[in-house]
Amino acid sequence: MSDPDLSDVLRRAVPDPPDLTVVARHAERAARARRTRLRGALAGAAAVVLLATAVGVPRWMAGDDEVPGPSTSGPTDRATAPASDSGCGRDVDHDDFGTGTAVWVRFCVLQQGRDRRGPPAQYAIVPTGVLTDGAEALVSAWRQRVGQVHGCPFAFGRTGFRVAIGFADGTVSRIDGETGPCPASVTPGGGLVEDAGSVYDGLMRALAAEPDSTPPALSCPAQPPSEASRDTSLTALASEAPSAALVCHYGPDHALSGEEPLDLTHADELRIATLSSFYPVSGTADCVARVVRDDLALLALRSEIWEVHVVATGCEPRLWVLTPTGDATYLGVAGSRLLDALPHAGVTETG
Amino acid sequence: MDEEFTAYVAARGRALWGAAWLLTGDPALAEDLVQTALTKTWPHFERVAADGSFEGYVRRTLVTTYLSWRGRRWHGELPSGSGDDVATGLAALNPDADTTHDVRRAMAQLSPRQRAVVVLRYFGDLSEEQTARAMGCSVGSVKTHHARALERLRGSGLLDLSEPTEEHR
Repeated sequence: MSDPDLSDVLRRAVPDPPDLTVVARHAERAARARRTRLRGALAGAAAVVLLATAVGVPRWMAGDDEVPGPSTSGPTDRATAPASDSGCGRDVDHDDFGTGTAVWVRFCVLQQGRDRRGPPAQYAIVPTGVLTDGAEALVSAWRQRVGQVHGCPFAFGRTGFRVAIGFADGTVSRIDGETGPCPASVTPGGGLVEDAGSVYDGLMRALAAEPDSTPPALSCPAQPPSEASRDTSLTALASEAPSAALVCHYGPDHALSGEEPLDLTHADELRIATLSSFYPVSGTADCVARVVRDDLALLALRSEIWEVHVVATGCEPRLWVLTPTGDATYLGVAGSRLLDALPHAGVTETG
Repeated sequence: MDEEFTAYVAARGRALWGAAWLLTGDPALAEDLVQTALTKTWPHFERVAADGSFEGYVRRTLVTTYLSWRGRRWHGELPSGSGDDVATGLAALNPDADTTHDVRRAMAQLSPRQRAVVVLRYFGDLSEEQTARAMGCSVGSVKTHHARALERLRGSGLLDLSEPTEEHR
């Protein structure tokens, strides 16, 4: 049946394929995961239906005609909307990322070491809630950056994230990436968005509440805070843009050696970098003698002051975030992006 | 089922990957395409393989997946230059590198649907009816894409093709 010319030419032209047993294994694993997610989503949907029936029927019987809200909660209730409401827990089914009108975008909250191959991953800290206003503009900007990408430079302190996108026809797409200059992958379709960090940053900015118009006065403490690692919530830092910022520098004697204000653009970059540029290394006892950097950033969020503290003691720079109530969360080693975003007074002398 | 599926991929993977490479013109994208098609078809392997139609099912999924990727920027923009890096890379993959390079450049001049028709008809040895079923379109549409694809391939000057036989018209 084959044309003697074109058939032969095509067959001769095809290069040797790679090891396809690896491809088969990946396909099998992905298909199993997909099936598991689908079953989970179906079970979740069944539970929701049962719950809705249990709650709704008595109300209906009592004549309560209150209409339930849409599944995509608006930006105003971003702090309370569960991430599994719209998209994160269900299978992706949007055929073509390049088409369709995006009606909502949200971060998925991922658990450490889940859904990834290779060593356990660290995930960026993200706000809950969903973006509806401006979702299409944000997705259009990402579409402009879909292309073929080859490799990416190494950057220390990258963290993983996942974004779910809902379209007007009810389908869902997903972007997975790591903060930093490497590409993010689009599912389904396998397209790549250049520079995953821009996807993360764009959604972080879009989800952040507007800064307060009357920020509190900031002043550097005479001494840097002494941290204790506690597991506190960073929700507010993840969901609000700073209204003012001040960076304090300390010397090896723990005395204040300088301070400099940050404009709001750089303050928000610092906030976003804090939540996305760190590597989780437990223990802080090593290299305690030699302080080479001790910088504290004060970020005003509404009327509260959050503190980002980076201390380098001869080894890696360690990162803490202090809540307004004084609780400290130790995040690990500060990534290069955060160090770039945090103004530095220069290396101090040995302590 | 796992072993049977792996055995199927070992036996037929080369043909699937070859079709995917001809469609995409890129080894990495071809791998991506094959993996996506296999992921979609794996859950139905036992059921469909029982009646011997799994090959057609995978092929149809491969093609429809490829066509659904048409919004991606790389479609229709396969590198057609004669860069040393491309030639060197292809030479490493295939000793018949000149043919590979020419076919890749010639296929890049076709639309996704024209590419799909050429691959199914000439690489997959499918009839017009089978090609239409695999692509989910009419036989008339296949004939149109086929004629225009051959016209472009001849016009490219990259492939020395004879006039189509009656069977391929």
